[in-house]
Amino acid sequence: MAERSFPLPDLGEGLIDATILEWLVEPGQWVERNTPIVEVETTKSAIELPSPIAGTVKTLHGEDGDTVNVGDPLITFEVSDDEAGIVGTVPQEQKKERRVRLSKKN
Amino acid sequence: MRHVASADGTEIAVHELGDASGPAVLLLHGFASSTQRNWVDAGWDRALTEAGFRGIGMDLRGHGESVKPTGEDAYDVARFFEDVDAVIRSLDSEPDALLGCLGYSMGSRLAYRYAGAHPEVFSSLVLGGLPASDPFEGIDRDMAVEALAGRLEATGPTAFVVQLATIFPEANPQVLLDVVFGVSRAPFRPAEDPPAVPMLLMSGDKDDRADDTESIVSMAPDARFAPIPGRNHLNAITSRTFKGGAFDFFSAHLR
Repeated sequence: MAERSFPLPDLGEGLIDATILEWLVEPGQWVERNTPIVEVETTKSAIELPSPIAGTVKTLHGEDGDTVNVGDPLITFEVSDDEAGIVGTVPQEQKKERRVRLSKKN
Repeated sequence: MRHVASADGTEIAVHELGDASGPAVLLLHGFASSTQRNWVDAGWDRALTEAGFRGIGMDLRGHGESVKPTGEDAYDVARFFEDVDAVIRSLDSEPDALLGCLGYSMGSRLAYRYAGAHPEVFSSLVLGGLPASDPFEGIDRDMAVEALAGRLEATGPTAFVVQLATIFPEANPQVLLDVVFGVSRAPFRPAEDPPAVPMLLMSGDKDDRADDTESIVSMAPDARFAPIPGRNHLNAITSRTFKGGAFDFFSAHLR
């Protein structure tokens, strides 16, 4: 097994951080890709972030109420070694013009 | 996304969300927001799909990808009613299909007034963040204009409107002031002409913009209230409690 970490994505409009409102998953839980994983709040709005991959949640980097900077680790998954080798999985649904999602941490 | 022309020619943006084969729910976002921000970013597209509902998100005139006419005449409540009429007429649904409506804040006020005036259109309503009074009453236009120009600091309810009007880069703050003064020409009075259909009212229990929602229950014949724990006016929109409550209610009244 391998691990993949995802940072808090750039939420646009010059926002530098977000506060974790509520985690929707917990360590040890298997999540499918696109499953909602966390609600975050910025100074402008509240946003729900979906999982960028399928995998088992290993670590949540922060608790409800904590502030996370854009680019800092948000969540780490345990994934199969095959999955870990895939670079830049392309999201299949493209119908929305602007969609905030997590991206792979390099 | 498609556009629908309203009675006065204003083009209204309509976004299809959720499961196209499910019962339909019209989504009306809040002041200074949009379908994208109020519903899609907050996770409602996924949640609608999962729950098996078709969401029809309309960007209110002056907002999102709808046309933004200037002048408060363009934002009389009657114009918003015509926009809802045009969007509903554009749906390719069966004539006897049930239609629900989900609103938030200003969108909830619009849904409440529209359903009161058009009792045959919606079979049930879920209204989030709805105060019992009109938050746009008592807004000082001169103060708001001066504050938008950076010449003074707005205070009181005017400060909140100025803050919201400038929060998102795609919005036109001057147009949003026209919205405020257009829709509040006839202030919101929930005791007047309340909707008769089943209605679920939900507000965050920390929502100081809508801390009197429950008082509306006694004004309408078939209304109930459920709080959204731990949430305020801006962050209630992502809540699982809000989503779950809305879908349970629509499941009971739209299927």
